[in-house]
Amino acid sequence: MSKYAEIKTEFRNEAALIAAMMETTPKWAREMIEVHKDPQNLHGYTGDTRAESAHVIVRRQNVQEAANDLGFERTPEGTYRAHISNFDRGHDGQGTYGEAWLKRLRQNYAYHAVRLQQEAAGRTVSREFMPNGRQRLMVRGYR
Amino acid sequence: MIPVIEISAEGHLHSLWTDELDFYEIGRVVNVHDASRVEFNEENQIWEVIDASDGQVVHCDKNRARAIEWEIVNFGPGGPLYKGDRST
Repeated sequence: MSKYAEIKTEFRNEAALIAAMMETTPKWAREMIEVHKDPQNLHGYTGDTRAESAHVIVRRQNVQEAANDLGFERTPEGTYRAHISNFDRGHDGQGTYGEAWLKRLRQNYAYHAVRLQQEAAGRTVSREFMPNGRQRLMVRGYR
Repeated sequence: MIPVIEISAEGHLHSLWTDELDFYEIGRVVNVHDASRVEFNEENQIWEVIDASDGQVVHCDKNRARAIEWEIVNFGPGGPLYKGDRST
């Protein structure tokens, strides 16, 4: 008996999240992404301290012009919640870091999360980009 | 056998279930439903692959392992009988 399953991707793996951030926004070098054990305040475009804090942060000068810090806060459940300002998200969600960006980030995260998990088990994962915007992964190395 | 996983444009995974992948580490598992089954046909002395969506026999093989391998290739993402993603 075979079963189909759907997995609603959640940001849980910090290394996969960072890899996905760098892939989704190639201008972000690894050193531009801060990682903190304890959450740090995010700052607005004038340098003001915002209400949100995060464990994984890209500072505003690396986000875009007149941007605010962008970050991911680790919740008590172990998932990462995105903090993206209305300006950077776009008030209609169509901004540089809006819904489309978040979907690409989630896609790339899913790939890196599977890749890291399977590489740790001695397997390899190849990826194909489909014309319909999907990605297809093939896992090799099963005995 | 090479497991195939599809990532939707929304960033969610679709796959045939396998315990070789820790899906729980990736996110919340939802919408689990039957794809197919492999049953032995006593009269014909053969293993049959049956499509769970309509009960039709779609493949036969004397060798059970080969029948299961066929099932995974054809019902998995990218296979001609794939019906796992209900959003399409």
